[in-house]
Amino acid sequence: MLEFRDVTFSYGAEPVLRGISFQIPDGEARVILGQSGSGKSTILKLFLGLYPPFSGSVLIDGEDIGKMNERELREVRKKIGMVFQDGALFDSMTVGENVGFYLIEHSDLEIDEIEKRVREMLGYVGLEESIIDKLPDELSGGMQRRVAIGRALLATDPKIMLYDEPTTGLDPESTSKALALMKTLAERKKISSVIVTHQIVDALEIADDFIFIDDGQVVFDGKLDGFRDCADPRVLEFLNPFRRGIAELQRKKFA
Amino acid sequence: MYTPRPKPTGFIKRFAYDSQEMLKFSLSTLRACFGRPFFLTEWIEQMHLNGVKSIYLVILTGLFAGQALALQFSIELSDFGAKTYLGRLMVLSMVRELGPVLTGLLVAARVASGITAELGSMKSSHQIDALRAFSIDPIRKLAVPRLLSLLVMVPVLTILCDVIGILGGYVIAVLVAHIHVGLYWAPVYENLNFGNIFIGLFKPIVNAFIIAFVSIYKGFSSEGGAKGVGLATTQSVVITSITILIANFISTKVVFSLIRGYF
Repeated sequence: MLEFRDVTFSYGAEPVLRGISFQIPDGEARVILGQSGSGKSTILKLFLGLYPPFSGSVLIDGEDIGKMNERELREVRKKIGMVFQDGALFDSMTVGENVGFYLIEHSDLEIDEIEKRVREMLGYVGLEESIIDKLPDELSGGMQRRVAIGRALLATDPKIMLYDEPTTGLDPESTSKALALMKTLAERKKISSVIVTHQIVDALEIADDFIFIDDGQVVFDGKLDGFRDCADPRVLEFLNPFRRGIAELQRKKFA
Repeated sequence: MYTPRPKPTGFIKRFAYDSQEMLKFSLSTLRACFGRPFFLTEWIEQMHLNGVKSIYLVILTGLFAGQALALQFSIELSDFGAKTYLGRLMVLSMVRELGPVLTGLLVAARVASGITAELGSMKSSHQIDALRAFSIDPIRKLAVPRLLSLLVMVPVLTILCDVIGILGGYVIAVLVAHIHVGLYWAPVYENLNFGNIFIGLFKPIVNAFIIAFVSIYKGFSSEGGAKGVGLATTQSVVITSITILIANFISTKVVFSLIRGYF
């Protein structure tokens, strides 16, 4: 279970999160929506323990990670896979070194064994083994995103996956491949997923549960139908450009 | 683990905040030098990037600075019939002052900018967050190898600059000032005493700390994308260069008075 309990946080004078609370049960996927700068990505950073909350609690399986030291946080992070915005691949390393990064740094496995696992993982995320020696800059945005997912999966065999804007900036084909992979992970491996995005149409492919954040506060937390019919002007303003896309996707989904 | 706190507004508060954060960051980095894991490959790689690749620059600078200095000294000294003091003056000026300062400023311009730009772009593309997500302490992985590489390479480069500068002075002494070889080298050896060598090695170590702490902190604390990284890089070079000059003066004053008897 992932939980935010009355969390506040700030990078500067202006608060980014103002008393946010929500829960995500084990094995469920939840999409966090909101305009740029609304505090969505910060939520993922707090889940990873990269920053402690100013007040309130961030709980993972009942443990308050805001009160943990770095060593304890490392143990918690072993349960979590994170796909950063734009992939955040290490640009001085090859694809193979990126995907096998955790094993290279933390395991005693022979380099041949790591390479074997990296090749298997590349296949799992739908990439050809031939890219193993390429640098991230030589790949398309969609391929970089899938390498990032592979890196997160091979690292810790996570129980929780955090995705920060996983489809932003991708072409339609890359988007659908990334979404299919995320869906497979959520369904087959029963991984809890938190997807931060402002692309609601893409988000619908993966989850039916939404949290809408505006100005550091939770405006809506619930299912798509309730979200679509929500009368809050902030939700209406956010949803208006996507209404046609949502309707089409819902029709396809329930056809 | 070093975690930056919210930045205050206002010039004085911001300056005090930055100084405090840089000090905290520097202490974290120093502490991390004595713990495990130790990233040996990164350390060697950084010594190559920061030190070996700066060798040509230091050789050229030392050579021409030494020659220009010898030329000026020989003209002035010849007025007093004291050209035989050229070797002594070359040692004192190169080993005590010019070598450490010139090398410090060169490394600040070449290496500090590179370190800040690299770490700043890693931060803006979330690579530093990614390291932490994979349970790697970015200070151990990124800051410590850079600090240690500079602590080794800046003194080595300074010694190289000193040697090349004195050799450049020798060329001018023999070919332009027509001083006998022995009259140039004898005072050189005589003045390479404990006091001069100590001050000549103390200063580059101070410079290495300044370059490392400022450039790494500026990289880690940069924000605002490409523009922010550019700004941090400029600040890194400016702060490093000015601090090196101030520290050089303080080192001269303090160390000179402490070990005066060894000169």
